[in-house]
Amino acid sequence: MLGLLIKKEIRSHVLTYRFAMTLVLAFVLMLLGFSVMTAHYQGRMDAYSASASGRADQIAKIKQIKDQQERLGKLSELGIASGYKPALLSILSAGVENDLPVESHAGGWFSRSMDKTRFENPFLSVLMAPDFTYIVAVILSLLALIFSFDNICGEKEQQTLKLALSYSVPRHLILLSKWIGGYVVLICPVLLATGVALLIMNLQGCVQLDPGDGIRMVLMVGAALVYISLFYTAGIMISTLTHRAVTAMIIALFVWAGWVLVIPNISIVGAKLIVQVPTYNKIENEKNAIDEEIHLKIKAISKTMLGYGDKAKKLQEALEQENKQRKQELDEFYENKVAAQNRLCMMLSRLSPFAAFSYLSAALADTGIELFRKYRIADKRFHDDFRDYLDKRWKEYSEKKLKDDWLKPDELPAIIVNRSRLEDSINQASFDFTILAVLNILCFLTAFMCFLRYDVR
Amino acid sequence: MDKTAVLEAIQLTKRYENGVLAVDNLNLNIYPGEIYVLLGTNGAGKTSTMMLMFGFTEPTSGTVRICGLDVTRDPLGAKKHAAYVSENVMLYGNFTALQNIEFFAKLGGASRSDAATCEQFLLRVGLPSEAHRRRVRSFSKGMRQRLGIAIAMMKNTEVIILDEPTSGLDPKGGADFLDILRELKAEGKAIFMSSHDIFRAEIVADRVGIMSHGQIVQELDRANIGHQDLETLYLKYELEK
Repeated sequence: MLGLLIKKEIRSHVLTYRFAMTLVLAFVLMLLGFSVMTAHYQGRMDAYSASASGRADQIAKIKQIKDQQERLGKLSELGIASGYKPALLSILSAGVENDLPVESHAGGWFSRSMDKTRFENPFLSVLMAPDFTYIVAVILSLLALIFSFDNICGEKEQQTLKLALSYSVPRHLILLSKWIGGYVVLICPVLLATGVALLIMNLQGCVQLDPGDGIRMVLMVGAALVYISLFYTAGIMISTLTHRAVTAMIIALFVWAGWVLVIPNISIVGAKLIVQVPTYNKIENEKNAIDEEIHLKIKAISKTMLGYGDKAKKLQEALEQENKQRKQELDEFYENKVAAQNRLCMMLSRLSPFAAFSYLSAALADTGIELFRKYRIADKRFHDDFRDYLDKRWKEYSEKKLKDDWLKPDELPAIIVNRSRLEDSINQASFDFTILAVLNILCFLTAFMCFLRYDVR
Repeated sequence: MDKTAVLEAIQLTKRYENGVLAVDNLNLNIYPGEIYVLLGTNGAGKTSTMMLMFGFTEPTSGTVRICGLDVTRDPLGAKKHAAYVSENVMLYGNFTALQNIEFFAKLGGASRSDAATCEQFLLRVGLPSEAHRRRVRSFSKGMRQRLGIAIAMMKNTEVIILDEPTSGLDPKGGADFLDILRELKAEGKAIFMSSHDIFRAEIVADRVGIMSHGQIVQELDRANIGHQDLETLYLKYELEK
């Protein structure tokens, strides 16, 4: 009997405009999204390659300078650039990827604060990247609700529910068949469109996938199916709580807006209000004030303890140490506050399946919040290492220990962002996956309980 | 007439959450081969009675039995013995008449649910062959009503419950419908229908119950239907209301 009911559900959904609309939208959005994101990824890859060759050229040019001091001076003056290789799966889930510069510059005297690629195409930032995650999280979630909001109340209005229930059909079978039949019809176009888009991307040879990427993609698609099913189940739940399709539609729209727009944004504001973080300028001002205070103290020591030699030197060193420590404490305070605010924001926003799915998808694509942290660390290390490298070379130069072939490309520091292992990505994603699964079960159980007592009059 | 009732309402009462007493201590027995027409004004409790008979809504107290099976305790068992035709047969608009009847035939576990058998039933209720493969969405109310009756007939149950089946039918459709009812009666089916249609009730009913305020205030058998002016009785209770 379940088979018969499912078949009927599939047939009745396939014959609707909703299905035609889903089919067209899924294909248009997936193909468009994949092509835009692939082109964007290629653009970033080109910028990365250009950065690598630019770096090699610059090193070669500096190397041509025979005089060691001049060569070292030139390297200190120009600095070096290092490219960041974009994450391949940012095609599917951009995450924070587009906020990371493809190139970072470290110099002895100054560093460029922004890489030139950031001036090229700002539209994806303004219009939101149409990646797989965005399409699923925003568009397909709405389609899922549109598919299911009147599953029960619509049939009640149509009086077919009454007729079906006048047969010896258990109510749970009707609900189950509605869930299975409708969901199958909903996800078939999505899977088909995603498959075709991936196939085209592969056939074009624009990107090279390794087996690890393949597994990540499969997991992302699987997570998308769970996310879509949540909205579909929520739609069914709404339809068992209402008796008119119009009412159900309004509630469904409220739920969608709440989950996709309101909760994620409220959680950002809420976290900012609960954990207040001073502005970075304020921290910088405080650091400057410390610098000034210590400078005055050192100046005073220099004036008053001219004849004290070692003692004065020790006091000055102690003050410099204090300066460093106090500034470090301020940095740590700031970073801890930011981290606490981020953690709270993440926890609050997880009340929204949209946020949970976005975190989950970005974690699997390795473009999540974690990548931002890793990039910052890698960038800082790159700058520190380059400064150390120059200090070391200048010291060698002053001690006349600098060899002629000291400028070796391999020895120069670069940005190295450690990619998450598949297991780590899965671990990161598992919490959000659990949220989606639990919400799915809760919605289905509510729908089940309501439908058992649903008044079909 | 076999005196074992196939449809029974025993002290059936329904009070809705808003306090409205829709059915008030109703007692009713319908026998095989009998057509029972429940007459009453809007809000008299006819549709609520029908809803209780299929367990679409739970009774506040009392019992409904179909072929001896308690609808509340054994709803699935009881529903095997009764078919239902609603006031406004809508069905699945995207399906053809044939697809609709095939689906419900299979749902009812009909021994034969092939296209040929289904078509026979559709022809029997007067639905022309050219309409069999048309989507129900394009059907007139009369055509949908016929299809609804064909679906109920195909279920082949002892009891057929019809909620105002003649409302909106043209005179020809109404007359055809009465013929179908007579055929079903001849097959020994117990027919319980609610209606506003005094004229047709007078023609076809074996018994007529006049319902007001959730109670059957007067019941007439075949012998008395002719002697009483049903319209006067109907209006009397309408005015009392």
